[in-house]
Amino acid sequence: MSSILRNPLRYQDFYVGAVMIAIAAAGLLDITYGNWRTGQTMGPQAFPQVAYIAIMMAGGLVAANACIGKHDARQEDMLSVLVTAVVMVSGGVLLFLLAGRLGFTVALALALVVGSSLLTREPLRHWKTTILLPIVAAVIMYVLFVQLIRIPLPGGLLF
Amino acid sequence: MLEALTDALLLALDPSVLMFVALGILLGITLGAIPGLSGDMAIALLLPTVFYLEPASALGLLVGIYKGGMFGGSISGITFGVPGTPGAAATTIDGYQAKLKGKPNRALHTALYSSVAGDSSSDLILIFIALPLAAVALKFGPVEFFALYAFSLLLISALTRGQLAKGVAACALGILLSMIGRDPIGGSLRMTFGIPELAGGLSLIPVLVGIFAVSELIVQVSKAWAAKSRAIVEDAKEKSKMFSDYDAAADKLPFRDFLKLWKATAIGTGTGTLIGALPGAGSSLAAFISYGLAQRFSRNGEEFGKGSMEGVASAEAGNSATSGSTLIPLFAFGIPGSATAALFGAAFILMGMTPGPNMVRDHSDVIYALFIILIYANLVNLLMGKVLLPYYSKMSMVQPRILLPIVFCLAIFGTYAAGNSLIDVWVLLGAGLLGVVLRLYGFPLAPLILGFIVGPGAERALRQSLLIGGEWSYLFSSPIAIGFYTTALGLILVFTLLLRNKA
Repeated sequence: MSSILRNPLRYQDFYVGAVMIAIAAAGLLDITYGNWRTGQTMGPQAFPQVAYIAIMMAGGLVAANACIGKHDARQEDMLSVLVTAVVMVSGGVLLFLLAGRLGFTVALALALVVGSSLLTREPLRHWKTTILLPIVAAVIMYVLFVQLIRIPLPGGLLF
Repeated sequence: MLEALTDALLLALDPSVLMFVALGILLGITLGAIPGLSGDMAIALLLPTVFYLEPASALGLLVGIYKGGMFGGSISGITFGVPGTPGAAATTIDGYQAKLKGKPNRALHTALYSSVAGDSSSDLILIFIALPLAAVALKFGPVEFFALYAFSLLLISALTRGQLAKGVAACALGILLSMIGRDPIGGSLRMTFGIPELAGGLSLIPVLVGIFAVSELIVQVSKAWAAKSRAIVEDAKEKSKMFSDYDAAADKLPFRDFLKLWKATAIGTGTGTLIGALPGAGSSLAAFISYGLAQRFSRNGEEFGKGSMEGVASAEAGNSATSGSTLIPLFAFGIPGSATAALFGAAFILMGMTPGPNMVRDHSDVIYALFIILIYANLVNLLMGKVLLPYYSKMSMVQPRILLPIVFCLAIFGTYAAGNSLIDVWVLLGAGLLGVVLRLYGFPLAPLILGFIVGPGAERALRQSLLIGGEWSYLFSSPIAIGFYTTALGLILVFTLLLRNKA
């Protein structure tokens, strides 16, 4: 146990297991004390209860495995992936809100121009790939989804 | 029967369906050939279009993507040594060695022919096995169905890559997500956190697209963002050089040469079909076991790993032969045995069909049309492959960084369009975040999806069983149910030993 405290990053799975146990315990407490109709033996709480117990047992096993040295390798790029996830999800929310104001095609073209500009690098970055291609892609998607397949997408000032 | 078959033929052979099959194959090959993108991701992204297309056209598109994606994964594996999909990893071993020896065209053609051979045989097995099995399943009661659900959940949790405990936890998490909303028997609300929009439960599309596509996109964008300019330029130059130095005329595979590989192809086809039918085993495992068996039974076993065409044929046939058989549990029992089958199951649900034994009876025209499409899509794949194979290799040169923003936007708007619901967009983004966290900490995603899809059915079967029997021991009252439990445990034991020996 002391080696875990000395070198916690090496035993990432130990903490993963602990978090799983905590989540399952919170779920089971919610079922016991929360607003569940738990009168019957096989009521609405039974199946979620089994799932929480499975998560708790699995968490215990993951933590125990980590203690005896059987654990998954830590991903080196974990932080950058998590930061990307937060940025992309926020960007997705912004894109969706923009689409309500500017319309699907304009918001999409803007998002694609920004995305392509951020993801391409010199000397491969070129106006054809960062401006022309995204606009063409947005127009193709508009024609394909709105005109041909007739999927209702948010409309705005222009389209 | 005859009337249903005639209707199915008319549906399947409609020129627009043929066009969607060809489009799907092109899309599947393109995405399969680009490492990091996959046919499964494309199927998930295009699920919303199911609402707007005729059932046969939608199924044609999805089948095309699936088959194209299966073969597409081997293209970048053979050409650049980077498998486009996990199932193509075994093909890459000999395929890339063959390419280094100046025989990429032979390897690609071997992969194409063996992929089509494995796929076609597997489709025929699906057609001839699924229907009789479905007839048997109609006699099942809730006890047998619960045992079957437990069988699938146990197998997929145990056999998916990674730690068993994490597979079980992912599966349980999927079940919990499926429990959000109204209790199907009592009608009370569960786990809605006071959000009224969640009373109807989480929709399939945002969960599937978020878990599969958005999480993968986030990982790929992170890689693209971190890549250094010099490395990208050098990689692009190296790939271009591979094509400029290559003499295609000196590297051909006559069909009679491929016929000499019949044994390796047959081993791959048989093994892939068998393993594909088991929930959770997957194409990657099938390809590696096929490769190992072909090496053991080959007269030139020592050539494996050095560019052997038998190695390419066995691995690719094993990989592709899972494609039809993985749908058997879905058609016969309504239980998806793999992530791809789960996506097809979701497509059926979106079309208003409930996967399972009644589906064939209630929608015979569409299901027979699907069978016909499955067969002729292989021919379209073969013909397109023969003509376009030289161009296919160049598809793996497409820089994913250009496609990533397009695919991300497609995921958001496609999900919104499917239900015209804002909550679906939040669920999509939330599921994407959850998928990323699970990937980073080594949790497999397929059990989560299976748990999400199978969860409500399993709960219903369990509660019905207990209402009838009154006690838990009633779950073991049927010999069929006991058979499922013991088979699941036996299979887990066999595969655990097999994988330990392989390691």
